Amino acid sequence: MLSANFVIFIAVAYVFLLFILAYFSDRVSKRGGKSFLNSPLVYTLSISVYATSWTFYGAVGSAARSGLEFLAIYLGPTIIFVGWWFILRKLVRIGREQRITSIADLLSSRFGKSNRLGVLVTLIAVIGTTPYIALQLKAITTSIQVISASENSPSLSGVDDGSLALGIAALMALFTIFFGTRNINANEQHHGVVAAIAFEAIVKLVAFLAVGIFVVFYIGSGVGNIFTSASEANIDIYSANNFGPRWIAILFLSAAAILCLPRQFQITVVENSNEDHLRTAGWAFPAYLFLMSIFTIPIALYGLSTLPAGSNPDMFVLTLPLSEGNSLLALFAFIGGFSSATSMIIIATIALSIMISNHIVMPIALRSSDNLGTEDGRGISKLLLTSRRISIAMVLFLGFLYFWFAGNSDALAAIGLISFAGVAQFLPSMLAALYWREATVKGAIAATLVGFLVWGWTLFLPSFGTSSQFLANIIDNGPWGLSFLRPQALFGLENMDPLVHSVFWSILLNSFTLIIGSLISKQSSLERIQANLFVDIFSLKSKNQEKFLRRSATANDLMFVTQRVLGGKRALAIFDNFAKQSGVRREELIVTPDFISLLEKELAGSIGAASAHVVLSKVLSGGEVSLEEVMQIADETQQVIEYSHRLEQTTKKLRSTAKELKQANFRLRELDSQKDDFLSKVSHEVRTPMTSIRSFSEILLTHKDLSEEQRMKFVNTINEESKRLTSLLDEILDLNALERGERVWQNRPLNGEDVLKRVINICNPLALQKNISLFRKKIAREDLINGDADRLAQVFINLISNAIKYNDAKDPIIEVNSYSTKDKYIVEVIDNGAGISAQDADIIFEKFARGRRNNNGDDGGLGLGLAISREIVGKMNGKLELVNNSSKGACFRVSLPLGKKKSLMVAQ
Amino acid sequence: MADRRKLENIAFTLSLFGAIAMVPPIISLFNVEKTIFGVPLIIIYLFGLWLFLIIATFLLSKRMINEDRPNLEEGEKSGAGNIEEINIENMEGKE
Repeated sequence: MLSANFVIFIAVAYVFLLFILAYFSDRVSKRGGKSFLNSPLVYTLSISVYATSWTFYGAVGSAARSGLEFLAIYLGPTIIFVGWWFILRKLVRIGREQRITSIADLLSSRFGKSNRLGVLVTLIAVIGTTPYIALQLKAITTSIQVISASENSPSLSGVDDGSLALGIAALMALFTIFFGTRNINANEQHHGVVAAIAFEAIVKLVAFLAVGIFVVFYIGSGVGNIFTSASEANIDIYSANNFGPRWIAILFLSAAAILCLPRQFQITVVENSNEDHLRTAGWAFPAYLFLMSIFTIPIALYGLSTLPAGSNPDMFVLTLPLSEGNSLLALFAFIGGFSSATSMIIIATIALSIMISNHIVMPIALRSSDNLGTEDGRGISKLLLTSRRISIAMVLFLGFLYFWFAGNSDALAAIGLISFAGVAQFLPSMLAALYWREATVKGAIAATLVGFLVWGWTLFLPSFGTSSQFLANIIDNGPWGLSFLRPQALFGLENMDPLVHSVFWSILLNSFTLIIGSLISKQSSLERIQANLFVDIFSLKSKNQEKFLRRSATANDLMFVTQRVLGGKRALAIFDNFAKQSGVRREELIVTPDFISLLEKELAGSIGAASAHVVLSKVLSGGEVSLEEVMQIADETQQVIEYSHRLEQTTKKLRSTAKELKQANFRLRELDSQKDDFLSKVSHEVRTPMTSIRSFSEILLTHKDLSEEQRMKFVNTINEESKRLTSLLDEILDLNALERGERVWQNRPLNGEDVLKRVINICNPLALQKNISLFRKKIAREDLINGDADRLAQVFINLISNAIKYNDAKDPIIEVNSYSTKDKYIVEVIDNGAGISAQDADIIFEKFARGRRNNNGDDGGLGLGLAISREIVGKMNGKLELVNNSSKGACFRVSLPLGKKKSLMVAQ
Repeated sequence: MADRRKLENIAFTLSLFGAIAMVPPIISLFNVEKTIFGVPLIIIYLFGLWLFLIIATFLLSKRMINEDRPNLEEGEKSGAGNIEEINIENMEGKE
């Protein structure tokens, strides 16, 4: 009923349908009508590229052979998607913000835009994926064989497996090149392809469900019956080994694969247009997988119990409908399997081609052409497209070659999990990229390399074991007879499932290398910047962390490069947009760090972070100092500055404390010496009267024969001296009290002139006694001052009596003047005596100081008068000073602030 | 805010629970020769667990508030998510 030619024709027609679908979707999305294509549903469906023909056909086979193990392949991704909030959301956010184009780009970008890491990841991805593509080709050819072999035509009408596979590969290449490399898009999104993949997802789901429903309810009469008849046929579904280490290993691998497989990363992260789509995908993708596997066990069990022994369980999905004569359903199932194969091939090759062109071709091109300016326009963009087209063809051809050489060996059957284990080597570095700030590029490269080598040795290599005697020998005895290096019993770890063994060693050594390598190596500045950008993606608000320091490049230079990479239209749009944002015309655009980091991101969206960085750095720098060096210098300088700043602050504090201490010490010493001085002066002053008192009293005691007159004289003297002593002590106490402010001091409004008149009246007799004429030249208006009348009188008396006492001129005159300025009441006491020498002027107000030239004879002064006077005037907010006068005598001036007029009125 | 944290914790616990329930020793409890309506218990258990995870995630995802989301390009915000968020914000406002 179904000839091979017909089946092939159907397959080609199906691909043609995909062409049309992708074409129209592309056109719709270009016109901006994104409503449907951009829905979370399409996103979720496209993620189901995870379910390849390996799961479409192979799940049933696996269920038939090892029970529930196939479920682990689906349950691992379920866990990741249930926890979408934690890993996937962060991945998608980083992917969008940093314009990540592939998993190689993610790791390279995080680890300081390292190109070496990018190359390594790309190579591992190619090595891990090519056999996987071969597996899809094999699934397609086998399914065509099976579906047409039932027609008793063993040869496929002249078409052998090889040319069939080659034809399919070519067809796929054509489709992928056509829709995967139409242009260098921002964010590397391919709306047409995604739409086609989403369509294929529906086709394979419906096809599988159709077969399942047919088997269970049409021919199998219910789920329960299938299990019953299976157990009657002695099929053991409780195989003891179901949930051992292998189950856990597969859970882990599938969880890792949903994150690390290049095609999954392409669909989930790169093609994501809205972070919120994860909200739906978080439950919808597990639901898709749920539906995809719900009929797997019934189909397997029914096939095992009804189909003849020896029939291939991998093809039960096709053979069961065929055995019931339902070739239409079989054809539908074939298309389902075919679509799951093609969708995987398309996305995997697109992802790989982007990685190859961005991380291998671009860096080489950049290195070989030092001067970007000499190439003619659009060079880079053309180069990118060409290299992507070539790599698509190359990857598919490699897949075909692998299929051609290993197609009939067992190597292919197990390649699904082997491939998973291979890409799982990205997982430690990827998680470190998302969560571990201290991970370094050296650690990541070493870890990925170690993981890859261990994987290659323990899993990939043994998969060829049956095809070569030499390899089989190594597997059994180890290389050069080194038994501890046996691929499936590394370090003597025997009796372990080869997959578990390999996953255990590779992931363990990978992670350890990453941790230890990161701890012993140092991050470059760019790495540190990128690490913070990645780890803190949710908390960092300022996006433009990457600062270029030089601005030697003009906007024109940048335009030139951008045009070449992104094409003229897009470049213009970017520049116009930025110019609009900063409010200038495009021609006047200034190259700011913001603009450069924006540009770098845009470029990274096409050629990967590492290449974009190289391209821009080339344009921007004159080759003097690299950004990294500058950052490092800046960093170190920053640290030194901070340290020295702190040191400086401490020193400053110390210095000011020392200064304060010094001052305090100085004051204390001064006070101490003043005190000593004072004490010695006081003792001296006290001793003089005391001596005379003692000597006179002694005379009185010893000489009983003194005349009454003499005795009276002596007693008088003693009395005088005691009075003097008392007044001295009084004055000292007074001064002390004044200085310490012990006495309550009250300033009251008073008329200064009244006080002065009173004092002059008191002093007049004294002056007359010494024949001194005391007169007044200027008399002030009556003005109010604030003060204590008696104290003020004391000051005036002291000044005038001093003037009388020390005036030794022939015609002694004392002039007392008083006048008011705007805000002061001033009294001057002027004499025409010898005056006070400049030397004495300094100390005259000190305690016990007396003018030196005036110690002729006992004058009764204690040398405290001026000190007390100054203290009193000070208490009244005034000033007592010795002023230079034109006349040769001394002139003391008392100036007191005037009270307010208002208070004058009140006082009156 | 407390609600948001709580939801995050629930989401984390859910995935942790899912992972633990899928591996020994928990899963071994159900790997016994017992059938329900003719279907082995272990199959019922695994698919039931799976279905529970899907439904729980469905209920939870709608409520998760993505506060620190970047500026979306115009019209990219999905309608459903939008309404959901507004509802939650309103509810919080009422409390």
